[in-house]
Amino acid sequence: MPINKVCLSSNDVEEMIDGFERKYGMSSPEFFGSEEAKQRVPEDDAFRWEALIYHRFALKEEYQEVRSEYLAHLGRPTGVVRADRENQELLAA
Amino acid sequence: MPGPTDDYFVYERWFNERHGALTLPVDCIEAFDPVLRFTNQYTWEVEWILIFTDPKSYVRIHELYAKRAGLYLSRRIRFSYHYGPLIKTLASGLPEWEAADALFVRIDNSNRPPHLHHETDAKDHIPQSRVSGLTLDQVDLFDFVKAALRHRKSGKPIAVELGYAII
Repeated sequence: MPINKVCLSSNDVEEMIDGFERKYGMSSPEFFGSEEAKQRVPEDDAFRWEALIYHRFALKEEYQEVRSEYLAHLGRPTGVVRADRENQELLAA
Repeated sequence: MPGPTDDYFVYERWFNERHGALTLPVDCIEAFDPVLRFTNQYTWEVEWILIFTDPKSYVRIHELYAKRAGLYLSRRIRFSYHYGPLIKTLASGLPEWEAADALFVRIDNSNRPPHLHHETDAKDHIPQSRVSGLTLDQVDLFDFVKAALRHRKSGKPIAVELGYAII
């Protein structure tokens, strides 16, 4: 059988992240920011959780790109500046 | 070598060709079709589980690719290739593994550079410097699966089938 392709939407990703946060009783920043917290999560689940964070980042990056292009198309440079600022916040998170 | 890193289209073709050429033994079932989850062409993960019924054991492949900053190319961020006895299952019937559970071999880069867990001590994270004959971050997932299949058939140690030795 060929590989089964699943295109994850933002809702899918957020729901699954929420599932891990509820299952382990901590937020994603708490999980990734603490070695002790990481030790409490089995490695395979930790991997799935981390993958979802990468998917979330990819989706947000795509959104920002599309939004920036759209605003550039409209000739509204102020919107592009705001998108860049949001992107920096995401990178800092 | 690990799968191609161009984008998921190239990876998908590579995976399907190799997967299609693989002959699985009769006591082996795929827990589900190998699944490729993606959010864009540069961010994808693959998960694949093979379960053997006699004796009960399984292979679990999971790897994650994400975009290289500033390039239209991806890189493998995380990988985990696991082969071991089936000890616990989730409600879904899928295998569950915890660090103390027995295994035959596991190669991953969880929380540290690529390392190997060998059957004699599952908890020991053996770094590349203590492994000869195998470059841990260059292991082809299909070579890993084929080594597991040979191990079941031949009864030889998994280290022999995978071609490594612990120094």
